[in-house]
Order: sequence, then structure tokens, then C-alpha cells
Amino acid sequence: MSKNYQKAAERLNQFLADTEGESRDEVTRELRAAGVHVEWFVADIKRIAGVRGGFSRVGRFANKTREEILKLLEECQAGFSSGLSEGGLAAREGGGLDQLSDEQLRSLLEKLEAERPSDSRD
Amino acid sequence: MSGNAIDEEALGKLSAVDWDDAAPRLLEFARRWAANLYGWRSGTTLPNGMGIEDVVKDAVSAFATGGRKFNPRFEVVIQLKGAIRSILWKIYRKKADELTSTESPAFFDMQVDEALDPAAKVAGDDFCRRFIERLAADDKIKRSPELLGIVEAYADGAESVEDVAEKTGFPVKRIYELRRNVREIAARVLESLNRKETVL
Repeated sequence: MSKNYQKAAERLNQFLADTEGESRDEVTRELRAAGVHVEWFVADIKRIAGVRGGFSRVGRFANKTREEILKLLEECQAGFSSGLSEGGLAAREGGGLDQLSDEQLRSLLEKLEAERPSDSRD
Repeated sequence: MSGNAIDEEALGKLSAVDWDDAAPRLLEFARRWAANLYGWRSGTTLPNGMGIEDVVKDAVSAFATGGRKFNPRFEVVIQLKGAIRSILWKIYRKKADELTSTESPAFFDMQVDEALDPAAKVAGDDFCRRFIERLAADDKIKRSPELLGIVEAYADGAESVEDVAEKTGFPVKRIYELRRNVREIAARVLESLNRKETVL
């Protein structure tokens, strides 16, 4: 008989660490008893899950219309001292802004957001 | 590099998660995993100075930023648990290797059963065998047919609580009720094995 002890140990430990079968209240209570500020933690996780690229404002961008994104792109490029032209912006994505998909526009906006000097610093 | 590229699919998957429920569960999972396998104590930081909450945040962030791609075959939360395990393993592996790098843990290195060389894998298998055998031989486990049944079910290849229920005849609810007992004993047994290197 050849048992796979590594798999067995892994699955047993997985079971032991899991919270399945416990209510959310039980789990939360246990965390609070350990000194965790659960609400803050959940808020942090939501923020991280809703944004990408260094926790920028993608969560907000996700709900923007195409027109709103284009307007934000204009504002964003104006924030660069070098003043990227629309052509320059589009070249970054390999085409004119009009030809970019909403997703590509959001991606471009995120990149610019990440590159733009922080308001608080400048 | 497209590390900051938007990953609409990942955002969609992450947005669909009920974080009010999942976030506390993931944190509790991380706490238990770290405590059980690595001897982490509540209220302390991890060996690299991170808090245990940071591990969960890093796991979510890795998917959100595209550093890690979701596998469509598995549930999001399952994959986040895998990420948490990987991060913890990496942190404690670094400690075991006495590395001093303060950089963020490299995510999602292969799990030990894939990453170790053959000799180390054999050592890992041997460690797991001793863990299971000592657990089954523990006085408290031996004295309880229910606890022993759970341990033996996993040793015999159970992959889930449902499998354990099928092998033992115990109701699933009862198995969950007994989990804390097994966990406490398992942590003690693991500690007593005085392992040099974590194997899971």
C-alpha cells in the first residue's frame, strides 16, 4: 500500500485552516478576539480588489463612459509638463484614440495616472 | 512589461466576490495556516516583518495588478487561498534559508512538491508521513473514534469534508465541529516534529 502522505497532510491542513462550515459571525468574532479590526481590513481588501496598478483610481474608471474617459485623458495629459499630444498618447497604444477600445482607453488612463506627478508632491 | 496593464477579466472576477464574507474568511485561513504550519503566533509579525493581514492583501493585489492570472478552472477564493499559502511558504522558506532580503515575497513560486529537488521531496514525504502517523497516534486522537476517523480518512485519501463524511459515516456538520480539536492537536504534533524546513 503506498499512501501519498504529502497530499494527505496537505488536504488535512487545508481542512484545518478552512472556515467552511463556520458562519461569517463566528469567523468575524474570532478575528475580533484576536484584535483584528475587521471592518478596516475588509475595506482595505475591497479597495485593493477594485483597483489595479498600484491602487490607483481604476475602480472609478471602470464605471466611466467612453466620453468621460476621453475627457479624463485630456485632463491627465494636461497634467504633464511635457504636454503629451493626443497623437503622442495614441502612439503609445499603437493607434488613434478613436480607434482604441474602452478597455484600452482605461488602460492608457491608468498608465498616465501612474506616471503623472503626484499632486501632493508637486 | 505589462504589470500595470488593466486586466478586465481579473477585475470582473474580483468585483464579483462577496468581500464582506470572503475577506474575513481569507484572513482567518491565513492565520490558521501560518499558525498551524509555521508556528506563527497571533499578535506577532511574520519573519519578514509583514503582518498577517498583509499576506491576504498581497494575494488579492497580485491578482488585481495582473501579477497573477486567474485559472478559469478554479474558484477565485480557492486561488486566493493558494496565493496566501504560496506567500507564507515563501516568507518562511526565506527565513529557513536565512535570507535577509526585504523585498516583497515573490509570489506563486511553485509549491514545495513541485519545487523541491528529489532528495528534498523524499524528505518532505517522510515528514508528512511522520506527521500523519504521529497525529493518528496522539493520545487525544486515539481516545476519540471521531477524531481518529477524520485523521484516518485524510490519510486514506479523502480530498474533502464530503469524502471524510462518506468514509467515516459522520455528518458533515459534526466533522466541522471537531475541526478545532484536530487543529489544536495537529499544531502541537507539528511543533513537536521540530522540522527544519516547512514542507507544505
